[in-house]
Formats: sequence, structure tokens, C-alpha cells
Amino acid sequence: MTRIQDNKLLSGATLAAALSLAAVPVAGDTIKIGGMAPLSSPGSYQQGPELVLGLQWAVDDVNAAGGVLGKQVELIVEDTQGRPPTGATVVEKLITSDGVVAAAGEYHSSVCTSEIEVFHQHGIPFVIGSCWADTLTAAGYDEVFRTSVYSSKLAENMVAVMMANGIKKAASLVEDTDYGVGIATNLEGAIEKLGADIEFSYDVVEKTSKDFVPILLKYKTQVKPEILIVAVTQPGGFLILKQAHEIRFAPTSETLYLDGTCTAQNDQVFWDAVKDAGKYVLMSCPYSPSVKLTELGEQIKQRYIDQFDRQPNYLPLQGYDAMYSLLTAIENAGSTDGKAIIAALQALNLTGTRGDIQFSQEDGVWHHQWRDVPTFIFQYSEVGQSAGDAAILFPERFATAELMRP
Amino acid sequence: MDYYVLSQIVNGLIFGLIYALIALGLTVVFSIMRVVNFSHGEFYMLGGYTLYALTAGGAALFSLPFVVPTIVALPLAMAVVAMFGVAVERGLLRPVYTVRMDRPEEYAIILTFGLSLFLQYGALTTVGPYEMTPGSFWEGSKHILGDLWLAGDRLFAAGTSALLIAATLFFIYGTWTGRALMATAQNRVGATVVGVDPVRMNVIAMALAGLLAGAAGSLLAPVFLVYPDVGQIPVIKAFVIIVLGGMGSIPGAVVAALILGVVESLASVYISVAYRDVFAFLVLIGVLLFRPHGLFGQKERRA
Repeated sequence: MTRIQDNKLLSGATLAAALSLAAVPVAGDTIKIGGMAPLSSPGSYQQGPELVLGLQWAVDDVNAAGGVLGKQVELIVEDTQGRPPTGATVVEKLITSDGVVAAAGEYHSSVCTSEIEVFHQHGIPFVIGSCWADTLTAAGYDEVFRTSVYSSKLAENMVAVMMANGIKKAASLVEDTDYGVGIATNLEGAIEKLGADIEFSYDVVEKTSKDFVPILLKYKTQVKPEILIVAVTQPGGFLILKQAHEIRFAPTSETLYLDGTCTAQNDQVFWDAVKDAGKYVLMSCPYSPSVKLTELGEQIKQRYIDQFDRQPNYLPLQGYDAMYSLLTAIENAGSTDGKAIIAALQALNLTGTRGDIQFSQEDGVWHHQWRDVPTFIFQYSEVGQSAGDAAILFPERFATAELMRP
Repeated sequence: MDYYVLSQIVNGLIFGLIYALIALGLTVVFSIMRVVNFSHGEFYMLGGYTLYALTAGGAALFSLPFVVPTIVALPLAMAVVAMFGVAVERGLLRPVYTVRMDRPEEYAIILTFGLSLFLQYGALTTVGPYEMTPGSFWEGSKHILGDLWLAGDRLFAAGTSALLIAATLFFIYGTWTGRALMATAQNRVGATVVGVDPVRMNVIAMALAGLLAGAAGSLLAPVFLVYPDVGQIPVIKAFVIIVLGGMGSIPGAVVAALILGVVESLASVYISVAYRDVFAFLVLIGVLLFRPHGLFGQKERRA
């Protein structure tokens, strides 16, 4: 299999080209696995390639160890462009034309929402790479599993941090997607569930907008929250932070700023884009660069650093865990039959990059969800700070500092 | 009127000036060449990337020991995009009016649409997917009024946009070349009869469009960052503006841009920010119902 060797920047198109080469069978008989991610506009083409990297590395490692069921694995990657209809179309193509036996990946919750319907219809197992909306697992489909974090867990973490720091008024700007709206409704739910005395309001914004000054000015002068939680993926999220800083709204001593998307963890890109606006920004993430990973996780992390000369964010690890779980389940099932793979996934107990992966059998959001998926809340305290040096505020057992205010 | 409303209007007008600059190049090309340039957003993107390369990228990516001052890089970036516009005219668009073909306008639409995709994916492949921030024109936040503070770069972009718009209007209406452009826009055959070279006018129109798009892309790059599809939304707004103002009307584009800036600013806080990008289309539909040719459009401008 061809390995991606770009030393500086992961380009979506380059990656797609490389992976189409990687998709050429290396043996006469292979097991085909689908991989989906946004690799071009209007999708988050900044994130998609990072996720695909994790999928590909898992396939490479399994192939290097002899493959699955004695055969090499062939990863067929499709670009879903962040569009739900495209997601459904490429999944249909992967199943009916390419003949994949299972799939992993995807970044946008709204795209996952359309994709799971196709997987469910065909009875093909799908391990979600990085779609966070609760509704995906709550749909209760047998075919759908998730190794990534989910919105309600992140929301509860954020509310816990607010409660611990006496925050009484919070506001949120969320993108107009299943993910964004899900974060807002989950924050409302978490406030109620945890009995928090927090006044909360939110607005949905178009993630493609460029000028957020009008709504930020309204928040600054009329809403006056103590914390602004932003669930808008880059570049929209970066623009909100820049503009909140420019109008002297947040992060300030009056109003904290929390990045709910974890795009701030991609530190080089983050600091290049937002400069000094990023100081004191909090971020909610499913991975910590400073907390020790599993042995496998440390290997993947080091491989990433060696190849790209920077710390990985959470996406390659989430991608790796999704694909590694799927391939291990196929091996355990001893078959490529959909039902057998689903049964093997349900019985899975595997050490991934970030912990021991098991899928819950409970109903609701926990249906086929890795419940113990790790999550953290960090805070930058210096301009240009490495994500690994950011203070950990949550969970308490890993906390390295108290909340800092400008 | 309280400070809050005034602040929103001021921000809307500032954004309107920026919209106007983006739309101006598009309307110049349409009025002179009758070509709807779908790659105008990528001209804008090229302006941003050129500014980044001159002010930060060279030092960051290639360890060059110097950076070009941003204020010097601005005209250089404008010139680069203007030259690119001329190259597009000479290499791709000239057959629209020099070669006899059945559907020249459709040819131009497909061609510029293809060019847009080529440039966007080209940037994704060669430069990469991540956002970049070039050097600043005017660092820090500036107090405007009440609680309104705005980035110095945004104010610089708006002020420079106003100057460039004024200069463009002067060029169009106050110089012989500008009048020749307008003559070509009104009646291509008639302009040729009185000695105007329409091919030369097309070259000037594309250069001017490149100059304006390059300026917009450069001025806004420190405010809105640079990335491969950065021009997509601005160019959609620019299309709305030129239709709203009247296809081919330069003053119409300026007025429409200012209206759009203020409407978006006020509607996003008094109605819903969720539909900020929809308000442009609502205004467009409303105006076209009563003025089908736009605010300043004429019923028939073609020769």
C-alpha cells in the first residue's frame, strides 16, 4: 500500500490521488473497506485528510501484520465534500459498485446522518470516524458504531467546567449543521441534567459567513455572557474568534471563549490564523497531547511527529481507532458477512490508540458507542503555545491548572 | 437612534464598501465584455495568496531573510492578479468575440466556471488546505463609537476600497479610455466605427477586474484569512450585488453593495443571524419584483 508522505501539508486533492493509487489491489484477492471524509469544498477539507490518514495507517499496519482473514485490505476512499447527498451517493457506490464489506470514517454529522441510512438499508457495518451528533447512534441501527466522542458528553464536560468556576451566564454560537445545533441542544440538556444554575442562550450561524461582528456586537452589548461557546468549524470558527477579539468582546476578563470544535488543537494552523486572539482560549477535545496514550497511541503519535514535524490533533487517532476496530472485528468474525462483523463489533474488546474500546449495548446515544472515549478541556495561556503545553482543566484527575482569565 | 443601532449601520456600511470593491470588477467585465466571470472569486483568492507570499509566506515557507512591507505588497498583488486577468483574456476568453461560434456566452460561462474549479483545486493541491494570515495593514483594534471596536485591517480595507472605487469611477467616467470602455459597453459596433479597438477594451476590462479583485483579496486577507475556497461566498454576494444594482451598472453595484452591507448587518441581529446570507437574496427578489432591471439597470443595453 502507498503511504502518504507529505511532510508539511496534507492536501485533500493530493491525498485523494494518493489513496486512489493505494486502492489498487496489491494481491489478487483483497478485502475491500470503504473510507469516507470531506476532502474538498464545501466540506472541511482541512480535517478530512487528517481523518483519512488515521484510516490509512490502520489499514497499512494491519496489512503489514498479515492482513485480515489471510487477505490484504484494500481501502477505497471517497470524498463526500461535506454534502449529505454526496455522502449517501458515495456510500451507495462503495457498497454496490466497489463491493466493500464495511466502512469507517466521515467527519460531518449531517453527512453521517445520510450515510447511516444507506448502510442500514444494505446491512453493511459502519464505524463512525468523527461525527459527534448524538442522533447518529441514538438512531439505534445495528450497523452503526462509533469510536469518536459524542456531543452530549462534550456538553456535560463544558457545563461541569462552568459550574466549577461559578459561571452563571453562557451563550453559544453554533453552525447550521446537525453537529452545531446538536451541541447547543445538548448544552441545554446538560444544564438541566446537572442542575446547573446557568442562564444559556444560543444562535445558529451560517458556517460559511465571514462577518460575525453584528451578532458578536449584540452579545457584547446586550447578552453579556460570561463565556462564549463556539461550535463552528474552521474557517468560520477562526473568524469568530478573531472578530470577537477585535471588538474586544472575548476572550476578556468579562467573557471567556471556548472552542467546542477542537480545531484550536491544530496549534500551528490555529496560531497562524488567529495570532494573539487565541490567548486564554479554552477548547474541548477528545485527545490530549500531554496525557500518555496507549502503547499503540504513542506509536501513532510519534509516527505523525516524525512525518509532519508537528503534534497530531485528535483526528488521525480517531480515524485509526475506527478502522482498527473494524478490521479487528472482521478478523474476529472470521467472515466478511455483515451480520457476523456486527456481532464481532458488539463483542469487541480492543486496546486502541486512546484506551480500551468496547461498544455499549444500551439504548439511546450509547447504542454501539464507545462510552469511555476520553475527553478533555484545555486552555492556552500563551500566544503560540503548543497544544501539548496547554493547561488541562478537565477532567479533574488530569487537571494541571485552574481556569485562567485575561 | 442609539449607539448600538448606529454601530450596526456603521459596520454594515464598512462591509458594504468591501462588497462594492469585490463586485466592481465583476460588473466591469460583464458590462464591457458581456462575460459572466465565474472565476472572479478565485481572482480574489489569488490576491490574498499573493499578499501572503510576499508578506509572510516567503519567510515562513522558504526561510527567506526578508518580507515585503504589506503596504508595498498590496500594489504588487494587484498587479499580479491584473496580469493574470490579461492572460485569461488573451489565452481563454478571446475566442468569445474573435471566433465565430454558435454560443459564445455559454462558452464563456463554462470556461470561467471550469477555471474557477481549476484554480480552487490547484490551490488545495499546491498550497494546502489550511488558512493563512498575511501581514497586517493596520494592526490592532480601533474604537469607532459606543461599544464598537473594529480591526484596523477592516477599517483600512474599507477606506482603501472607497478610494479604489472613487478612482475606478473617475477612470471610467473621467478619462478617454474610460469613455471608450463605456462606449464599447453600450454599442460595440458603434464604438468600433468611431475608432475604439474593442479587443483592447476587453484587455483593459480584464486587467481592471483583476486589479480590483486582487485589491479586494489582498485587503481582506488579514481580516478573513486566505484558503482555497475563500472567494466562493464573496463572489456569490457580488453576483447578487450586480443584479441588484442593474447588470452592467457601475454606480448601481456600489449602491447595491452598501444597501446589502447594512441590510445584512441589521437583519442578522433583528431577525436572525442564521439566515444572514439569505437576506441578500430576499432583498434581490424584493427589488426585482418592482424593478426587473435592478436599481440602476436599463431595459436594453446591448448593441
